[in-house]
Amino acid sequence: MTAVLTVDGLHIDFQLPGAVVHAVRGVDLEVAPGEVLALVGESGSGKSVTAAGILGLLPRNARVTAGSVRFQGTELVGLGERQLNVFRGAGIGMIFQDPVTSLDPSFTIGSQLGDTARLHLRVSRNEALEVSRTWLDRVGIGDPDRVLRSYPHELSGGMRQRVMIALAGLSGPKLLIADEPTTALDATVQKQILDLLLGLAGEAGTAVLLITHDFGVVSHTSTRVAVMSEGTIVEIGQTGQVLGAPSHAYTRTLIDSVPEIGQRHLQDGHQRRLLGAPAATARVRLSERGEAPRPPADRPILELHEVTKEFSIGGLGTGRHRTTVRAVSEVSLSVRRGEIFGLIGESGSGKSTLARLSGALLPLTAGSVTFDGADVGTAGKQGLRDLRRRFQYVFQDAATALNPRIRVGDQIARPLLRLGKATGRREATELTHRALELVGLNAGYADRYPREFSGGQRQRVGIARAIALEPDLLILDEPTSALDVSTQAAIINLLLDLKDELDLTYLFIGHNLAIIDFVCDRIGVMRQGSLVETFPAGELFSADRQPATRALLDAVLPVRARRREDLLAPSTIKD
Amino acid sequence: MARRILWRLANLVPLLFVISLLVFFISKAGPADPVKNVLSEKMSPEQIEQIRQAYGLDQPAWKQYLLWLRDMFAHGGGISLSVRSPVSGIVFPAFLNTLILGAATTVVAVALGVLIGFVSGIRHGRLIDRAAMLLVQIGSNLPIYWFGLIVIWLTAVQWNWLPPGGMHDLRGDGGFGDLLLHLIAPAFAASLVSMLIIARFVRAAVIESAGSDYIRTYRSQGFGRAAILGKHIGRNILPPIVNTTGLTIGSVITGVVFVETIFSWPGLGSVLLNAIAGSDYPVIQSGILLVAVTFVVVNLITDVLLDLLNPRLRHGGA
Amino acid sequence: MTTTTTEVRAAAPPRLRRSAAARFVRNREAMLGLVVLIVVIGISVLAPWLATYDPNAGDPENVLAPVGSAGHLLGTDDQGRDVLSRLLHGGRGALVVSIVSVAVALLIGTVLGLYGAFAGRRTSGVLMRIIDLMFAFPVILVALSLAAVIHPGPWVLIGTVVFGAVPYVTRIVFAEARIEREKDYVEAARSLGASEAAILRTEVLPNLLSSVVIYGTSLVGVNIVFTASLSALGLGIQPPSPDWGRMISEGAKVLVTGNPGVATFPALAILLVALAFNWLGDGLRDVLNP
Repeated sequence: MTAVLTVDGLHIDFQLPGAVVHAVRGVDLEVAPGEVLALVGESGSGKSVTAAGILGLLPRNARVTAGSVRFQGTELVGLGERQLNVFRGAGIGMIFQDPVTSLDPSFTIGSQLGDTARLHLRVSRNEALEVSRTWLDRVGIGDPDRVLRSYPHELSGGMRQRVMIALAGLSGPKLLIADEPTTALDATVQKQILDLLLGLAGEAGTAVLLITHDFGVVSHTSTRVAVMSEGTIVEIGQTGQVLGAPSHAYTRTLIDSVPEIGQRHLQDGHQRRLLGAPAATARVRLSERGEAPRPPADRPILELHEVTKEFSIGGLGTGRHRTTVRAVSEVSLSVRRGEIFGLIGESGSGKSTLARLSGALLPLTAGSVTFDGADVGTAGKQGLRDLRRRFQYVFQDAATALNPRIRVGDQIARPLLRLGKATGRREATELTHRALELVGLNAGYADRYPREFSGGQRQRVGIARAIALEPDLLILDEPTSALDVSTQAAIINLLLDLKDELDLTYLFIGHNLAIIDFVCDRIGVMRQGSLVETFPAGELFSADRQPATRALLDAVLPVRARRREDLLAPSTIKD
Repeated sequence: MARRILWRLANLVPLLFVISLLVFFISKAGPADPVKNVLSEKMSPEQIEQIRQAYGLDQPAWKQYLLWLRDMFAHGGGISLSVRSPVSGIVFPAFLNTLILGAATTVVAVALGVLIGFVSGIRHGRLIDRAAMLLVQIGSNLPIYWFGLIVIWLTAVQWNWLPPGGMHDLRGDGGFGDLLLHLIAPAFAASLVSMLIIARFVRAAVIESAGSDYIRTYRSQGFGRAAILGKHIGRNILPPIVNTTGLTIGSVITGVVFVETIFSWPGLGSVLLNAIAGSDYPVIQSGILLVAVTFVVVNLITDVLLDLLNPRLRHGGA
Repeated sequence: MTTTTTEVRAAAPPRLRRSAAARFVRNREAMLGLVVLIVVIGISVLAPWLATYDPNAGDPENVLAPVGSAGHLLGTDDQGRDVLSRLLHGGRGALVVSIVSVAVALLIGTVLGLYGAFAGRRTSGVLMRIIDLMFAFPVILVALSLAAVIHPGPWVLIGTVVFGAVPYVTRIVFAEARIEREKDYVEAARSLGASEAAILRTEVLPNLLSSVVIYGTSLVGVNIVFTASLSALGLGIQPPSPDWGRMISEGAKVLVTGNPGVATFPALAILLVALAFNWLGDGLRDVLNP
């Protein structure tokens, strides 16, 4: 059978002021009818540009410089907009990453689906409405009539992505290009959306080109996979084969960078590190004073007692009724000295708010936070300043967590002086340099601005800023979720190193269960502001886990499917 | 929705109070006793005192404010100090003329501004866009007074297309067509600043909308350029157009006042300038109050229009 | 196996970025604006020595001399005053008034905008509502009211420009400070023990300054044009001081009678200075906010 889509030696250049960037350099792809081909790569690998180039949807400053794209035998490169429109939608449908911005905010769902139906199916207004209703039903929307009348902002992210699938599917395309269709969604929604997409494509015999950065998604969805790096495809083959025995070193690094759920049991204890990117820190101490004997473990260092946080929205002047939203509701937990406590939940579950409450960055509505025996809420200004040094915070996005207009050295040194960790400029500089070296950065970087660093380096600076104060507790708020997988692995290894080196305690907040499971000693699961349960990491697969935890566990898409079967029933599955 | 409009209406009360208070204080904070200013020194102190009582100038400040407010509402601002005739007879006809010119100016500003902005927005980066932006940059840095002069010179003197000023042809029938002919040049001149502001905002809105994810969705679905431009971009730049028009009302009024003297338009601007030269406070006060209240009302209308255009509010969103 | 480590640990590689000053010099637009402004300000300062005639001395024998006539390069006006000499003197008032009042407005606007962004929801709501109204308010009313209270003159211009510019600056600062406020570095500073005042001064303000400077530069240009029109109406700088705006309205009488130069030369001077401020502002934007 001939391929639906053939991409041959595709080159795409970006014209930037004063430079030409070769984003795609000679990509060859072939998508057979009905197959699912995954195109996987890290950010900047050129995978999304390739997808946009197929349909001629490149940004203005980009253009195809060489190669060909053939859809069912027709050459698409070089066609004008009008000729391309014959194939767009009707022949090739496209689903984008962000369902929030990909629908027009000013029109109802019914109007947007109806327009598409009328364009492609040449039906009347009433028939178009009927088609839209049927399709909303097919993508699993329970009350299509309400949704048809709704504006995009009235729907959740998952619902909107369902609408996008209906929009792309109703014209019956032969090929669907899905560009990171679930990256903006919660893990539990991701699997539903992927299964829906695959199910519909399977029914209609539609081929799918799925662009993703997640090997779990690759493993779950695709029959074949192409791995892309720096504008070229480094490896292409059957999914099982590429994931099981990658032939290219880059592919192997990427796969090894992702912790598999349950992987901690394979390499436990102090040797627990991710293979993709080993990071060993120099065996140095920040200062001699840091050697003071620590109190015995098992004593809680951070205790939350019935912590509640309410936000109020609306009220006078906004034209809306004043309502209070409970972001965190009566959460009690304790973090023991020397452990890594993981907190996981979907977006909006209140985990980040809880982290901020633990770090005294937000006032409590009710309850109490105790740090090493001292009540943080009643500590007073000076007392809180003394405590601040001892619990530090690492943020998700180092790009915004570092002040862009201040040299990183100053950003590390200022708090040292302010909180009395260093007595003078010179000592502060010295400690700053040591902290930078401890996180694997050259001390010479101290006089640079954050924008001169890469994403991973910036996160290292953020960690250096926190550990320079020699805290007892680090609150890590999704410290790796803004990073590519290989960088993520390096940062996780660094954090594990630092913990051993500096005798730290971590409160680690995340949304990726595999990472939480790999890194943490105990895990707490949050759902709708409440702490559902806490348990030792080893008991993640235990039968008496709460439904919320189970849902998270079910949503994990393992890279090598057999691993999980091993864990659940180690003796019955043969390799 | 209704709740929101009511809230906006309720907001007007303190606003109007503050404006009236400020306008009232124009005469209080003036350089000299308004009575002494106008009346020559021939009068005896008793006579001056009599007049002061007649005008209520011997009362405490808050009482004077209330009296003044009553005057404003009941008698349209009292008696002019210089012309010795009711203020309302001077201010209202002039205000109406200004309103006509202001409305025409707004129409010209919105029509041309949206046209320039839309065309250069959809041709972003092309020659026509760059040419338009150069014109916008030069135009917004031209002194409006000189611009008005050049418009008269070209349209009336050089080409002899349009009348050189005034509202009606003295020999003409004073009909609507005549008025329209007299409106073109001053409305165009007065619209310069607001037109270019609107052009810039519309261009930015078009570029933003054209580069948005939802336009990419429709392009990927094979919708034609006309459908995308007309429906999706057109609808999504409406709120910024209304918003910007509301914001430029101030510039429109300012432009009209600048232009009135140049085009000998018998409007409130000329009246106010004369009143200032003659320290005629009742005229100044009622004129300024009238324009300020007009501004507040127009502002309210744009706010409500924006609310109506916002689907998040229209559908009673959370 | 140690590639990542050695990569980050390696000696700091040379820096790629040029300093802001170097980028400024390479920015054609900014340099052009700067040079024009230096020349104009230089001329204004040195006008008494540069001008060949007393700008206010009329010569009844030589009214409305055409451009290029002997001794009067740009001709004379209807009172026989030398247009070139008046032009050299005419920018002084407008420049001083615009720069001073925009500086005042920047100060007030920055303080208000920062306060609005970091104050409680209600305070900030009321403040920004007032600012929004001021933003759209017809500033000409302010000029007229001021002229009624104090006599027309430079103070009317300063008051009007400050009133007109404060809401612009406040909105810019407010909007940017709101964005900055939500960034994690503010919270990071808080977690590192910085007081609220220190966060505003040492963390947030440096991130806003470039915008304020850029915006202020363009505002000066806008207001040179605006004050010229006010002066032309008779609300601003008063005769006999030579002033570009005033020269336009004086030249109006003779413009239609075939002497367009008297009004047009000052208009062009205003245009050039305003454009120069615009260029400088745009150039600074490219340099300071890469």
